[in-house]
Amino acid sequence: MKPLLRRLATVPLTTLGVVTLVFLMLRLLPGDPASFIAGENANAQAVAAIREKLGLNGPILLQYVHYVGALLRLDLGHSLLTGLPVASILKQSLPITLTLAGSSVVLSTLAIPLGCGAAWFRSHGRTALDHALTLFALGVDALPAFWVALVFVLFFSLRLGWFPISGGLVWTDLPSLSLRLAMPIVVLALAQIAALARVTRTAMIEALGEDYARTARALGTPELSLVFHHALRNAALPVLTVIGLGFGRLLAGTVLIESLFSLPGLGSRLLDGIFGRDYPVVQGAILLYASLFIAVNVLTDILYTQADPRVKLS
Amino acid sequence: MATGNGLGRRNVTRRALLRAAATAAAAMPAAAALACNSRPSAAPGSSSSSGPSEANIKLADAQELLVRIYDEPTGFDPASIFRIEAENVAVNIYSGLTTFDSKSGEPIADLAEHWEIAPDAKTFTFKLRPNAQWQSDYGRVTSADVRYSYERILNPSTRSSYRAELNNVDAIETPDDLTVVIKLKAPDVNFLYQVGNYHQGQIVKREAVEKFGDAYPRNPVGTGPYKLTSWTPNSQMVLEAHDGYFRGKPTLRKVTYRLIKDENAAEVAIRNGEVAVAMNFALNETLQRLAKDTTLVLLKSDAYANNLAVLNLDFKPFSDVRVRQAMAYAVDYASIAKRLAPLTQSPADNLIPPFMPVYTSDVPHYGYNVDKAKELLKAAGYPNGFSVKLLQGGPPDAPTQLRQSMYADAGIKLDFDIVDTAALNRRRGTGEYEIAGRLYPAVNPDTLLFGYLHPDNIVPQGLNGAKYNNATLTAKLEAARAETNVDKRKALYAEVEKIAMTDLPYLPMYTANVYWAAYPWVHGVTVNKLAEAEWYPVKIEAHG
Repeated sequence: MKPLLRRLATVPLTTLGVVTLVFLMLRLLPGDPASFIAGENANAQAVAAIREKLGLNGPILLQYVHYVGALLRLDLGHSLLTGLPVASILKQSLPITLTLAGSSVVLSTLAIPLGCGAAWFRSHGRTALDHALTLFALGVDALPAFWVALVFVLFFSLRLGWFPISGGLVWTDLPSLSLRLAMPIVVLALAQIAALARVTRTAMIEALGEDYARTARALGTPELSLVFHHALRNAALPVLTVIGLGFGRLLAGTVLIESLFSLPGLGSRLLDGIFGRDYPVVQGAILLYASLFIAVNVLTDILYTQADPRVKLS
Repeated sequence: MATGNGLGRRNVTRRALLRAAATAAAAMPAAAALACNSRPSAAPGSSSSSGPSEANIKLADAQELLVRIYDEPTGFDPASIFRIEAENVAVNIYSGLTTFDSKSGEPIADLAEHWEIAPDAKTFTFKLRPNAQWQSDYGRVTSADVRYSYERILNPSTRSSYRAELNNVDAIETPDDLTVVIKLKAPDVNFLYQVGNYHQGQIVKREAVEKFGDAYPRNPVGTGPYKLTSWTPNSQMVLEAHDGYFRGKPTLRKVTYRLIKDENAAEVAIRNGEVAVAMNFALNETLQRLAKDTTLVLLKSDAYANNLAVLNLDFKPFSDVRVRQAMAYAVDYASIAKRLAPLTQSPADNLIPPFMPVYTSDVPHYGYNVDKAKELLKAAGYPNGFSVKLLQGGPPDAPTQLRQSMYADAGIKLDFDIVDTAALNRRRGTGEYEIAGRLYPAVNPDTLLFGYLHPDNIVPQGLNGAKYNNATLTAKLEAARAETNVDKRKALYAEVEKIAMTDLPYLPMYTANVYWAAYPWVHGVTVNKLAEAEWYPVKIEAHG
């Protein structure tokens, strides 16, 4: 377990790095929160009053020390715009983003049988089907998520009226929640499916070409068992990598998708925070994103060792 | 082993992706944010959803309304409230001593039933309504509430953004429960605008402000027809009728605001019937589609504010009035508006919008004339033109790009200095630009004329971003404030406008329109001069 502990020990350092970078980068942006809050037609007195109220007058180093000190006490501060505690804002938006990203990851595993299928067709010389599947994946991958989202909205929401595009999220009302989240989840999963299918295909082609696969075939192993039991396990590493990476990509994707579908998740909070120069909210949201990403990376590394005992964390 | 490197690589990828996504997403909301800042309103010729037979309509059983709001309000404390989406909710929660006529923007009675202005225009005596009640059982409204509210704004420790609006107040007296006497340091007839149902003019209850403390902006208590009963951040907000309202029980019982930021999503939501009223559509394409939709009504509030180009007179070429006139002659605002933004913009001819009672069209006009522009530039010593930078929030829209090419025809090279909203606000506030734009929705003519033209307001102190200072004009501005005779005051303002349009420190470009959309069975929605709508007159007709 030692290597794992060593790996975990780097987490706080990475986190501090993220925290510091974000803190400094935000303050390098021109225009401070006071000039945003005061609005476009405010006078100097109003801006000065707000700046004082928000505690933006002190030296940056002092602000940084206060911020890190508060973080160590697990205090993320309060939003400069709404005065709400950042922790409560994040607590409210995190489940939405996790549901979106998590469901998309689950949905995107549809790509694994797809990729296996393509590889199997190819190993049996039916390259036309393989090409068709590959081309399809390539096509889907090339569609930008925001465009797919707009097309979905126009078709499924406006034309067919199947899915609502507004309204609050009530966690206890599962049917209406599913309707509200269905489109964003599918849009997010689509690009992921394409990437995952291609990687699975490549890894499977390699695995199916290995000596052990040929031997297994010669011994009369059923094709289905060969593909999913033997070859897929050996092809699992790159597939796991793409899923792990994909989770990060999905988190990034939520920034855009939440905004298009009016979902009050972490991504839209982050975006609003950046535009409003709401430092504590941006810092909190990015810290959370970074923690999630680090956690997924560590988890992926651990899963590697489970998927392939030859991999050691060192 | 590879895992360590792999982790590093993946982190970089994630950050890059996140950044890319944020940048991509930024492009759209930036446009939306600009649109949010532009404030719509109702002018002569503004439409409201009330039909001619309003009195005879058959009311629906459920007087409840779902409304699209386009941005999340940050709170409802009159001392710090900002942006139209928050003001739109607050106008229904609070009252002022006065409120504004939805067509002319002029102050009319609200909590104050009537008032007297002393001949020196320095003492205002307001008589409050005897039957005005606070929401949430805070009792009857008294003169002490008014005094507390305005002294709170003036108290430096409140750090109100609107303290300057009441700077002229010398003393507030409350001889009895229903009388408020406000004494000013300098005469100002327009003071009636400053105590309206807007920002600092809204009356708050001391006990509520003290009880909630920092949480007050999310727990407002007012005297208006609706109270805020629930607020799910970034999702929805509910207003419910306040039956103790002094004008009587509201017909409309409940308003639920749904937050839908994206304008395309809002269009789908209203066409799907997910909301019955949608605030603020700003894109011409959306509006053209909505206008064709016969199941919906577009509520238009035209020419609520003028969009001006602010010429920094410290920039050398602009110190010559001939160059400023050349700038005015060089652009054909009428054809730009007609071709690119026919629904949202029309050409402007003055610093203030036409709905204001003191507006006059009897000022110098500068029709499109590129030859004259070139002549003037030559006379001013710029036969080959000059280069100038425009401070621009976000990427320039099509009308701005066309403007750039028209300037080029006259020999003026316009470059864009592109920044985002926060940076734009800061630099415009400090005067760091050669040309900037300004769109300021207001009902008080002095907010604009005093703000833009008085030397006390030269940036960074105030809104005089041109750094304009003309003693003759300043004297007339001050005289107009002190003039209690309506006609004489109008004449003084007309002279101010004439001088300003001769000297041209600001170039009027467009008047802006605002649109909401609603179903025709929602009666009585009028978007006023501050781009707000009050729910009190609204009734829902029975519909299928």
